[in-house]
Amino acid sequence: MKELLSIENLYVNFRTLWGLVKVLNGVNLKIYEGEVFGLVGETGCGKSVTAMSILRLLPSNAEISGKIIFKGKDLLKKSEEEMRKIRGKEISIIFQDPMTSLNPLFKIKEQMIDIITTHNKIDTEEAYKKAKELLREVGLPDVDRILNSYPHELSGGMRQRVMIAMALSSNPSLLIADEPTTALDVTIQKQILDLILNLKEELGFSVLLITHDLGVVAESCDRVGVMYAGNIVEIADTEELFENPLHPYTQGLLSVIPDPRYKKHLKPLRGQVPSLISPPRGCRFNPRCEFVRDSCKLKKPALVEYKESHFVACHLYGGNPDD
Amino acid sequence: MRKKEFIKILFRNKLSVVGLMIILILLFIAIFAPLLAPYPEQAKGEPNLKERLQPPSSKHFFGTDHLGRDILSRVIYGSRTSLLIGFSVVLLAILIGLPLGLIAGYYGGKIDLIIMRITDIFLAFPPLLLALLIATTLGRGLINAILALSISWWPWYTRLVRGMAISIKERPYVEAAKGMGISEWKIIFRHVLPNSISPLIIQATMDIGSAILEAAALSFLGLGVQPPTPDWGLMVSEGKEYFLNYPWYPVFPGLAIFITVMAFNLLGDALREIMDPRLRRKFL
Amino acid sequence: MKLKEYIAYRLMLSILVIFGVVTIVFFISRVIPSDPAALWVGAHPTVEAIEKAREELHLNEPLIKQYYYYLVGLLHGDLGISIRTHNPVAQDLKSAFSATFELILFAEFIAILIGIPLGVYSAVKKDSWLDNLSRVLAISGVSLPTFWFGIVLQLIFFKYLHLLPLAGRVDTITMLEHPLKVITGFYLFDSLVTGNFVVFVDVLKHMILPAITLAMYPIGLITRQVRSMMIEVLQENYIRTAWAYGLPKKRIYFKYALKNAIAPALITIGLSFAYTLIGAFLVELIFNWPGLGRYAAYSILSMDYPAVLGVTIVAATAYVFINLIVDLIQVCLDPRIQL
Repeated sequence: MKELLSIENLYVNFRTLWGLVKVLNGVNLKIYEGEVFGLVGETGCGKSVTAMSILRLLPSNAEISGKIIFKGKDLLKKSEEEMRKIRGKEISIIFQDPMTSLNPLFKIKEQMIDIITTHNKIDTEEAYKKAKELLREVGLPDVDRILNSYPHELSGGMRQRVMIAMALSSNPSLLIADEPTTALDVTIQKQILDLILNLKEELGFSVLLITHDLGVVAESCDRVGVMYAGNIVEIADTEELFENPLHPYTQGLLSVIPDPRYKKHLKPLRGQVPSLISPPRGCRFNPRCEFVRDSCKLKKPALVEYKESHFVACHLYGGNPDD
Repeated sequence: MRKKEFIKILFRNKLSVVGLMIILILLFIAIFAPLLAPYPEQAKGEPNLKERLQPPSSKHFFGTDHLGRDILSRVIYGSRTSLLIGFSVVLLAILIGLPLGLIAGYYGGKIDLIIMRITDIFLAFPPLLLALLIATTLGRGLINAILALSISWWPWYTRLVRGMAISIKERPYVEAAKGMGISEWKIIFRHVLPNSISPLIIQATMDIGSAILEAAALSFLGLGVQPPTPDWGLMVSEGKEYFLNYPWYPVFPGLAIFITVMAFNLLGDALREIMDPRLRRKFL
Repeated sequence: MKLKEYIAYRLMLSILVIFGVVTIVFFISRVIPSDPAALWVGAHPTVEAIEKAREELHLNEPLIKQYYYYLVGLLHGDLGISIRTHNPVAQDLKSAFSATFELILFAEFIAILIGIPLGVYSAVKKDSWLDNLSRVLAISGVSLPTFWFGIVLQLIFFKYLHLLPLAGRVDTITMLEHPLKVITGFYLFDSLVTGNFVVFVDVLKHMILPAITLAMYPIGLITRQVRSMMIEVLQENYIRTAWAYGLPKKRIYFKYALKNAIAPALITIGLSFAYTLIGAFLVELIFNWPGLGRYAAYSILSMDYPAVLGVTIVAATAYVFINLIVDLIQVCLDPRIQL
């Protein structure tokens, strides 16, 4: 498998009135060509910030350091203009809330044509044709009518399909899907997810699927990374993760799944997500961990390969603290 | 928002600190005018015909007017007139507008409809025009100018408070209080009123500035304060007759109006920015 | 509701509001503690002359009947006779109206031209020195006493720099040497269309100072409003989408964000029109501009109630219609507004 994206030691802090918020605390992950990589964690754990870091779209009060290697080049070293040409062309994203992610005052065709002509040297007429084609590809009927509609005239599911069409308009290599189904009706969620997976098979891009829904992960991802308070605590193949969760946090997360297969010896999580202004020293999970030891409060555990292609960041598994 | 955060943000915004300082200095000047003015008698109107239209000098920092009076002294005393007008117009407008807004918003229905249609008609006049008309009718003078301005101003407060009252009365704690059989007036005064106070303060801060500005315009048109009362608008109006040859005469009093109104606007603007969560930057 | 029906409905509402305004203004003006008949007769009143004037002006009849006469006259475009000029008020207003309107339009044009870009850049560069500068400028704009600022500009550009004329709408001698064919009453427009460039330049020179004076308040209002709307819009998800798909910066700011910000800012632009209308009362007095404002000021000072009434009604009507137009533009800009 060829490596498409590699995030190495990514730190992101936000300067705020209340102090420095340490949102990402050395994130490491790799995404290979053609795979669906799931990123799971609770709200506020830094999943979306990771996604926005890849696109370099963090607010101006953010401080970012580390490496984001995409196709062999560090995105953090690119100029703003180079980055702009990557966004929407090589790396695309669809967002959680299709209701507010489309500009309410412009027709769908205006928004789509603008994106298509930005990244491809074609005229408006060809772009319109291309937009029609894309909409058909994402399974929308009556494409002329939709192109001439305003966003508020479409349903949530239709809007998300439009978003997907826009995201795929320039054949990206990486599609980031940030909670793409969370805001939708349950019946439509599956349709949208299947659509993304089918298009992935067809077009061959990789997907970074961000979600808090373990059901979605189980259904669609090849590999999964679990995030907690700005750290990746565990990465494994989906099946392996569900069957052999190593990190206490992952075990806690899985314990809430109503499927008895996964419930062997898992205990539910206690306590609360820590403040990111003054996070716990050492392992950020230590205040909630029932296996906590002294070393957990002193040193941050590194993400190490405990078994073949199963990574975990926890002192229980002998992670080398100096790494 | 916590008080500490509020103060922190307020003082972070340099412009608001400037505004606050100017207002405090103005209050100080207004209170101690008799001690600060070099010629208090001239400030109150006593002519000094020997020294007519003198340019600024060490004796008269801002020069003298057409009756030889020290302009600096009159500008210092003028702060009293301006602040008096600014505060009393806003106070009166709130006294009329606030209860009407509370009633309209809290009770709704027909009474709301009637009150709001009346405000509609008042607000159909361009600003200042109605005040001009009322001032013409009531006759000239300080009190009448204050009345004219407050009569044309109250509908703004009615609208503001009504909007707040409507949104607050839907909140659970008000519903709960109603359910417990607490009297409606108690609910209004305990819950609805305190919760409308912060937008009201922002509006009032800015309005004090605007009221001073409009009162100055009335004076300028000869409909406000009458001579020999020291008043900035009136001084600009009188100075206008002499301005080409004696520019200092209208320039200094006008500058005083400008700085004063600006101070209230700076503070009001900063308050608005702090309290309006939509204007604060989103984090995460 | 269709657009046409909506316009008809709004027009009807506007007419009702104007009717309310006329009523209030009429009754307020009749409380004025002065005797219009005495003013009408002039410097050497005799009892008979005053009595005759009372008769002519319907002053002996009950107030409600006078009100009825006034309304009937109004429907025929008759606003009564000015006590001060002895001309029909409607006629006085007509010539003043175009002078004022030209000035207001020019001022508003300046205000929009400066206010919108300044507000946009201020929002984009929030908390930078440019933002602070434009905030100070905006707050200055709404804090300046118009009448005083006019005087200051006159001192600078007339007295000290000798660049621009002191006051007036056009130089009388220039007008005599190059007679202007009046078509619309907007001198700038008329002189341009008829190719009378000498007058055009002269009118423009006369217009600059009063227009800038008048524009300061709207500049402040518009800059402030556009800034805060833009700040809000720039945080919206659809703007994030535009960034995420690599659209160029300028297109995001000036196309996708500005259109969303401008719809609510339009209300402010409408309101600022109203302020220039009233600002004109003061500015015209300073710059001796033969418009509604100067006419109103003189009428108020001489207790010329038919004239005051007329000006107020015209100003309020203009205000109501400006608001109506603003609402209609908003409907056209925002497809989500349900009629």
